[in-house]
Amino acid sequence: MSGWETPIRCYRSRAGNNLIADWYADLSVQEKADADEFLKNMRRTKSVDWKTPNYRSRLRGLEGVGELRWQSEKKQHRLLGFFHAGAWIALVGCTHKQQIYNPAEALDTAHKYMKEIKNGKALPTVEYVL
Amino acid sequence: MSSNQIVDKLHTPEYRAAFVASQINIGIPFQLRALLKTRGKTQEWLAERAGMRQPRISGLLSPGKTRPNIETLRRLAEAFDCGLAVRFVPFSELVSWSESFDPESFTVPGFDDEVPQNEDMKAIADYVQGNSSLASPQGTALQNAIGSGVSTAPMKACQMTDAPALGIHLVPRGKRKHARGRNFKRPAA
Repeated sequence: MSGWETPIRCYRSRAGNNLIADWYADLSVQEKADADEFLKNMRRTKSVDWKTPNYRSRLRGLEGVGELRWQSEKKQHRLLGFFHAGAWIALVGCTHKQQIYNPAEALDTAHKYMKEIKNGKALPTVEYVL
Repeated sequence: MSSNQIVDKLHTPEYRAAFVASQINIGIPFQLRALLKTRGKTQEWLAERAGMRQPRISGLLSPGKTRPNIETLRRLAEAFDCGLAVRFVPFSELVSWSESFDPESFTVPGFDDEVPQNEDMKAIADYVQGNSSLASPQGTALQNAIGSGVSTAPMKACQMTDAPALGIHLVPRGKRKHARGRNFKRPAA
């Protein structure tokens, strides 16, 4: 074991809700198991090795936001987030099909949340424990 | 995610079935990518060795994109010149394997790289040539090497379910000790 860990943390809304936990709760059982396995392995991968196809660091038109990428139940799953303070912060969970995100405003929302965190206006993030 | 959290989820039959599938659909691509990285090889190299097209290899390296069947995995194992263990195991063993898997350090030597220093392989050679029996020290090593090392202890320690899981992973030819679930502990209720 290399013992390496890239911490994954979650954005919280101003009401204190863990939106990533909400996203996870809506997944099917198979999607949950696949997300667990995928994120466990990404967490054990050095951040410098977060590369395609598992991770895309530059999204068109969005400075700083990247996406974790995997497929499950014939759907392309995405977790949008960014590296900040030694951890990767998950901002929005969504799916992706033919260049379109679902929910459609996922990218804009992720960008907004990232700005909140960078400007110190968001609640402290919480560890990804699902 | 800790093993305790996984074990909690495994108490649901639906999650158990999903967990087994995720070890194949998500776990295998991580194994393949780690093997390519540690050996310094490219997708094109693997495609040529396995007799597949590069886009198919790319798909196999993408978590969840394809569901590799056993024949595909056999061809990939042949390309890497390593073994492939496909067997039914208790969930404790599968969780132990999943929790100990590290994409940064996972490696499986090819046959030529493991033969000179592998006592298990020497034991197999001696046994096949009639130079030892299963009662000899070499025979003990042989028993370990060919699979009798799968202890029932993890099952007794866990006792989560009678239903076996299915584990598939690439291993050195003639060696699969790492897949034991000896450190598995059921969390306190």
